[in-house]
Amino acid sequence: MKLNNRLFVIGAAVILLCLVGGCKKRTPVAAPPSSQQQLAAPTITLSAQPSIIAEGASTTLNWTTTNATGVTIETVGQFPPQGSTVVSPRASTTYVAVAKGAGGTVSAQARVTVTPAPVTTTTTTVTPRVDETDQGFNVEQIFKNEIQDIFFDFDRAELTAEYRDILRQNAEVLIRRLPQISIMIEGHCDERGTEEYNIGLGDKRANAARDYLVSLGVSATRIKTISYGEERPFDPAHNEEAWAKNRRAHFILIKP
Amino acid sequence: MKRFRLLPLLALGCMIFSQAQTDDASIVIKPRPAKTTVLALPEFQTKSGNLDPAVDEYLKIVNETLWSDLEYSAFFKLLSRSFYPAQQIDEPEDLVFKDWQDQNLGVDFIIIGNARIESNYLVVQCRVFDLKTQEQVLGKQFRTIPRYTRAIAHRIADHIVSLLSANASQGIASTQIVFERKTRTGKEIYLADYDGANLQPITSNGSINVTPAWNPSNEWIAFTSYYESTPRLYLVSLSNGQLQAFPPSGGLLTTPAYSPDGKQLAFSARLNDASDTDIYIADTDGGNLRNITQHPGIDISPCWSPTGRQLAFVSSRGGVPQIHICDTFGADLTCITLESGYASSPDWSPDGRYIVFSWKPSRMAYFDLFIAEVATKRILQLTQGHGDNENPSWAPDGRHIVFQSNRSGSSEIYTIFADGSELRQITNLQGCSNPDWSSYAQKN
Repeated sequence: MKLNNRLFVIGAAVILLCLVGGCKKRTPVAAPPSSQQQLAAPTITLSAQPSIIAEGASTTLNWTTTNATGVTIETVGQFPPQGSTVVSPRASTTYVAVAKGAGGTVSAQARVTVTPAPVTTTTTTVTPRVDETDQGFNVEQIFKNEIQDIFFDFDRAELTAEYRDILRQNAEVLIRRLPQISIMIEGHCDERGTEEYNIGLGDKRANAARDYLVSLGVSATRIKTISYGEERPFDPAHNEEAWAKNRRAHFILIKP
Repeated sequence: MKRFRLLPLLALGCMIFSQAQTDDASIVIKPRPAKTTVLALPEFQTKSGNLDPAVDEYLKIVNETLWSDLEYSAFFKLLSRSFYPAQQIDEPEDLVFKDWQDQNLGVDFIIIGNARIESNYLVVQCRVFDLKTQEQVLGKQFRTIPRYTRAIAHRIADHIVSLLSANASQGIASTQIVFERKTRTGKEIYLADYDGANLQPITSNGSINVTPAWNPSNEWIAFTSYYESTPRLYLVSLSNGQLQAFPPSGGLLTTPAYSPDGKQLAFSARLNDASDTDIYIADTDGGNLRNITQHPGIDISPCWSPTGRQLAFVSSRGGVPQIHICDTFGADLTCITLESGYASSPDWSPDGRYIVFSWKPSRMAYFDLFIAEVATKRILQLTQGHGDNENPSWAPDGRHIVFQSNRSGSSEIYTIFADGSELRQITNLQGCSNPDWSSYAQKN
């Protein structure tokens, strides 16, 4: 309660002083400006900080004026005599600010240069999409001409570098040129291993080819595998030349 | 690390290998009796009073077949007929014991018999006498249609083996062998008597039919067929020809093997998108399917131990195909071969002691048959120097083995005594493989 009383007394004194002052200002009136010619023309300065930005980035326009009542920046908006605003031009832009005052109007310019966004490692270059379809060939011909069998070392089901390249080419054809077909991969062996084990080995060869094609983006649902072991040799002779031909994964077209 | 491990293994391999070649006595498979029983087998005669001359033809078959069966059983020595007294023996009354009791002949038992045709049936009587005691130890009469003449001889041989081997064998003369035969379009499953006679097709679908396997009661054969394109298992009844598709399918199913109780199949399968084959066991109706091996690598060609508690199979998990053993849950896995060369096609002996397999040791050019003693992992070589010898299967007596060999130029089926003697070629059909020997024949 005591504190409130004291504040009240101080407040009243301040108000009283103001009133006294106000009265004082009114009494000796200086001569007012008598004509418009004598009014000072406005001035304005405009700057952009920074003045060079990357594509997608922002910059701040700052302006100061004298003798102005307001500022209009074209394409941006209307502003008070002093101030700043943030802009994000898509391309290089020259901003024009017009200051208006009792003494007239005046304009100033600021150039903001927009540089293209830098190419970073995360952005990919987009190759133009061009749809290409074969004309005058049927699916069987493309398959026959483009899809190649792959071959294996004795008792092995691993893909060598040479045949991984072939499989990459096969995958490319299956994805780009023959996207509608399904395939059967047959696993074959030469006659030197034992018959039952070769059924397992042929199976592993076919699956190795399948798994690699799938890793390259060929849908697993498009691929069936079958092992013929040593039951369906391509060359029935009993020599290394024939055996090498018979250790293969053979590609068969399943029509859509 | 691995290189250092290999050296002692290779050294061990060479040692056992050379030992196997030079010291066959180190493992003796069901030895022949120390003193071989000597049999006299005079030709069976036409029974007096027979009116049908066709009996001569059947008698010839009985005499040839019975001699061959008894000789091949490897329990007996058959005294050559050139030593026999001149008198023909038709009935027991014709047998003069003192003629056969000559010490120089050394005959222990004599087998006599006769045959007649009665109402279009062939009737054969057979008696066996112990020459020491002059007592009849076997007396049987057999009656059948003439088409089954050989079956009578086989039946007589089995009775004699069973009686005189002190039950070491029930006789394998009535057993059969199932195998693959190459055709113009693929392969078909065929069946023959253990001596190659009575060849008959089990399949004839023009596709690829492989890996036949008997069930223990000889009533069913399981096999792999490509008939529906994707290889899967089928079970065919030999009594009525009924064909059942084994339900699990998709991917690859092959190399079936019946459990000793006949209730389950072990087989190799790659189901759907797996990358290689594993061993599975299921009931014969496909129920209770379970995966025994999950290891990366090819697991194939399982066979059961006679107790039904273990499996032997081929696995490439060590890099090259080798014979592994595990229990029926896949545990207690061991490799019984030497981790060198290429070992395949195991079959467990009926007494559980041995596993026969085909092996191409690293420095050899061909597959040969070897026998591993399961407990010691000692290895004995059975065949040598005659092309590829593959896919062995034990006879139910544990004394004989059937296998395929290309020693003659084409792949054919052979049988051999388990010490490497008594080789017999039982097919000559230009392309037979993967035989499986039946169980002992059921006596009706």
